[in-house]
Order: sequence, then structure tokens, then C-alpha cells
Amino acid sequence: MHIPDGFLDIKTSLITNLISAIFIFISIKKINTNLNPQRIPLMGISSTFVFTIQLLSFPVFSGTSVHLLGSVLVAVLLGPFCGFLVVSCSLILHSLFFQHGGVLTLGANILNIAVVGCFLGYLIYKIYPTNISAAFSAFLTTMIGAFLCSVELFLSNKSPIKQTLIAMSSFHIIGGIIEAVVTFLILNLIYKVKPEIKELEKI
Amino acid sequence: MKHSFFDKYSYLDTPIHRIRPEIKMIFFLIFTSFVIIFEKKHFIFYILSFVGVFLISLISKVPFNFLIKKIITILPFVFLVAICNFFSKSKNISTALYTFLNSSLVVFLLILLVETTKFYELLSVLKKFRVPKILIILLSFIYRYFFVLIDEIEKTLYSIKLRSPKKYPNKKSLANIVGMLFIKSFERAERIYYAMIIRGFSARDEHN
Repeated sequence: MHIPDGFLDIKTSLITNLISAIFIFISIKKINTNLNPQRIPLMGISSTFVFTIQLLSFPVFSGTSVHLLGSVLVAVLLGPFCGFLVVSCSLILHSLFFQHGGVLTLGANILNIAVVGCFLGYLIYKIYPTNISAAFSAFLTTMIGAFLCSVELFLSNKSPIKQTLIAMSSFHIIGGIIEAVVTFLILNLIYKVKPEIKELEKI
Repeated sequence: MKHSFFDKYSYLDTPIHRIRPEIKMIFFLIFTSFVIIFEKKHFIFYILSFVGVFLISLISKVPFNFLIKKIITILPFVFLVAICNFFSKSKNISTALYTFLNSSLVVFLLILLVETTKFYELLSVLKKFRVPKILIILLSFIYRYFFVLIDEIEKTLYSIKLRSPKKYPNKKSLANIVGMLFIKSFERAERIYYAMIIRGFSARDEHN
């Protein structure tokens, strides 16, 4: 789902970069106004955590593999605005060091993974905040991200919409299910071992 | 424990490494935008630019097969686009071919940029471009603590292996490993905070 450079044309990358920049701007404003300095190392290390778990990949069938995204997990643990910045920074470094996603398509990747995963995922989770609903929202946001990814590829005249949608969604169903199960198990474990994370202020 | 750093060639000293990072970054951005704006270019352009990439990798001593290996990350997308175009009415493979060439060109240049520039120099360029301070703090955190977390994972895997050599690692243990990783990071964050305070970090000044 990390779109590399060259797969989006210039108008799509400009639009998606603009949307992501607006979200980053809002989040930074929000975090600077209710700033708690103790939060900065926590955000930094969570960002490293997301960076690391995005590298763990499960093999699905021959050659292809899916990896965790962790955006819903971080949004549930730290709050949507913090989680969004954390996941965005991890995506930026992924594009630089591992070429998972390009530089001019960074906006599109942040939109597909971080905006959808953190803001929309947190809203879905907030309706009825339990671990099951977090797992459900992890599955849903993965599918919405795949959908957006196909729409972006279609908008830049790279591939027809119908075939891309079928291919992307059938591929991401597996990833979404793994993401949901792992999110559920991790949240259960964290709340059982360290309940004070639940009382953390969610920004 | 031993790690291979992800920008292991960036500490060499060659003419390419000595170019100012701003110039390299602006050149990269202009070239990438050029490649993306004009999607279908003449094949002479591709030949010239791949020769250029090869020359840069020769001068900067970043091995060329290191660049080739990294192309693997974009291949799934190329296959996706190719297959989807093939099964549609137009049956036109040339889009996928051009996309692959453009994309691999940008990937080569990006690797060369990252591998010939030290990470703190890249961050200083971002600082000059007025990127907000908190993003830079988070990026430098990832660069510094990534190896610490990898160490934690390796230790956990070792201990699991020692205790239960047969059922290792299954899906459930993977969730537990990741969960414990978050808890350990959470505990580490407090210690890092106090260490930062002792060394004179003040969040107000750093932020605005």
C-alpha cells in the first residue's frame, strides 16, 4: 500500500500532499497548545515502535507479504493527533531509508495510512470504545486505505478502476484480518500488563 | 549485538559526499518532479539518466548492485499496474513499462541521496526549510532508537527460543512480542525524559 514515486501523476500528488500537509499543520497546532513536555519522548519512542513494527512482515503466499500498519493501535493508545504525527514520521523515514513509498507520493501514503488510520479509525473506535471495536476499525481502515490507494492510481491514469479495486481489496483482506487480530491481542496484553496506559491523556 | 546500519555508505568520503546537502536535495526534488510531470519520455533520456546514475554510484562508491537490490520494493506495484492494464479493454502494457522506468530512476536517485548524505545533515536541511521542530525531533528519535528496539526484539526472541524451542514463533507469540515491545518502549520513554531534562532540554524553547 506504500505507493512508490512515479505511480501518481503531478495533480494527484499535489492534491494529496496538500491534504496531508493541512492535517499535519492542524495536529502540530493542537499538540503545541496542550503541550506536556513528558509527551515528547513518549511520542518519539512510539514513532520508533511504529517504524519497527512496519518492518515485521508476514508471508502470505509465494513472494508476497503483508505487514502491520499500527496506526489504529497508536491512535487508540496515544490519541488521534499524537498518533497521526507518530505514524507520519515513521512513513517519512520508511520512504527515505527503505524506499517503501516515494517522496512526492508521501502525501498520498500519509493520507491512506495515517489520516484514515488515526482520525477515522479513532472516530470508529470512539463510538463504542472496547478492544473489539478497535480491531474492527483496524480492519475497516485497512480496507478504506486500499480503496483510496486504487482511487489515486485511477486518478493518475495508471490503471483501470475496476480491476485495481478487485486486486487491491482481495489482497488487503488478508492484511486487514491480520491487522485486526494483532491489534486486538496487543491491546489486550497492554491493558492487562500495564493498566496505567489506559489513563494516559489522549490528544 | 551487530547491526547493519541503513545508511552504511553515508560515512564515506568522496566528492559526491562532499557536495552540500541542500544542493543534492534540491536537485533530487527538481529531477523527481521533472520525471513525474513528463510521464512518457524518449528512450535516450532513460539511457542517459541510467548511465548518470551508474557514474554517480561509481564515484560515490555506493555499489551498483546495492541499488539494484532495492528495486524489489517497487516490483509488486509494477505487477499490479501491469496485470490490471492487461485485463482491461485497452491491454496496454506500455503504461506499466514507463511507470517502472520512472519509478526505478527515482528510487536509484533517492538511495544515492540518502547514502551519500549523513542523516543529521538531512535534518539540518529540513530545519532550514522551516519544517516544524516536533517533526524533526521525532525523526531524530527514530534514527537513534531504532537499533535499541531491534535489540529488544532480538533479546525477546532469544529468550522465547531458550524456553520453548518447538512452538516458536507462532501468531500469538508475535502479538505478545509486539505488545511487550510497546510496554518496554513506554517505560523507556520516562527514563529518556529524565535524561533529557538533566541535559538541559526545554520543551518550550524547542517547540516555537
